[in-house]
Amino acid sequence: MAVADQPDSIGRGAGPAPSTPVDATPAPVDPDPATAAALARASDELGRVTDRDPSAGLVPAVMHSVWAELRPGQLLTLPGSAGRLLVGSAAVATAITARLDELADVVVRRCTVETRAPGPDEAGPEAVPLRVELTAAVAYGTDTHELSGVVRTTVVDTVRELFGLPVDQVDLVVEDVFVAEAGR
Amino acid sequence: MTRDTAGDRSVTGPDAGGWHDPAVTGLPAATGGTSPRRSRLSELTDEELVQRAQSGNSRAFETLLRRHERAMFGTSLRLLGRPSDAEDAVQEAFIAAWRRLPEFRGDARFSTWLYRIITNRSLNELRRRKPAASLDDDDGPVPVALVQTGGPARQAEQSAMLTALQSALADLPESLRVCWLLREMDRRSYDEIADIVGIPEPTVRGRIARARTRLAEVMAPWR
Repeated sequence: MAVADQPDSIGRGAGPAPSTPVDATPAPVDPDPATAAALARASDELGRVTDRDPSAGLVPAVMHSVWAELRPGQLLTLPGSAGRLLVGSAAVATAITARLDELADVVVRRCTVETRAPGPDEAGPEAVPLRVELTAAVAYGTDTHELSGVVRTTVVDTVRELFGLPVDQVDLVVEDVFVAEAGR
Repeated sequence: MTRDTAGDRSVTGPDAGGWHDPAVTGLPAATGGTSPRRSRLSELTDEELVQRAQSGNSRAFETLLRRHERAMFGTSLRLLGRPSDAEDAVQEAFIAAWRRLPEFRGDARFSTWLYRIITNRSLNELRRRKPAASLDDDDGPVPVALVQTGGPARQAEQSAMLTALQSALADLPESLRVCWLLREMDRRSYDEIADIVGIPEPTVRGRIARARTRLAEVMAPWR
């Protein structure tokens, strides 16, 4: 994969140059069994002393930064707020996903919320309904058509109840099937 | 893949009829079936959590962090030696992962991607130290006394053996050390190490073999 995090820094970095070229040394010779066993014991010991949890504050500290840098997505004006109460589309998506997590036979993987292009007879930004796109996995054996109806109703009702916003289009992409008996 | 959207696109609104049931006025109940639920965040795969996090779900990202923090901390700790430095490196790496998450395409496993970020951050920290810095620098490696087991003789042997290994690791070229640690300590596959380090798999195998030979030479007295 193409990973963007300093792709050339390992083994070709600015650290002290090795005394011999790394990949040009003679072919390695397997150590004798007793030496290999000693190395294995020392390795196990190193693994044991370093197999430990970081402090309990590590993840909270990271999340503090994450929350400061949230990607709220498109800001949506809530009805009746005269533009003074906004909600990010990512927050709406998270709420939808949380609600759909109550359904047994579907696992939402991605949820995107955006405003649909306004029609000519729609008055202002508050009247523009939302389009929701979901990608999901469903349990093997599920009646997909029936489930999709439940999903759509759930989405519409959740967004209306929590935010007062209308949803008039729910696109559902079933991209995987999981076997419930296996737990996945 | 089934794209089940055609029916919706002809609908202009809930009141236009079709899929919206106006009788449903409260928040929907869980009516989806009888199969075991598997949608709690802790039950989701990394792939599913990544996709949610990419949609802006910070709780999904937090679940990923909690799932991998111990492994990533261990990796950094073995490279840096000091827990405080390892925590700093892991913290920086996790924040970088959040910032770069939109770029993650899922061509490799999320854990592989994280390992790469963590490894790079840890190596950068090593390079920032004074030139002679290593696993056995002034502040020393991981405090062995915290985790020793057995009687005094056994503890002394463990401590000496561990010190010898850490010293030998510090003397290895960085590229050998990283490959060996990822293989022997983190139990990564050769293929995954190649992905993490960004070199061909045969080169990974060669580096690990050379590292093993050099370390075995140092450990010979402990046979």
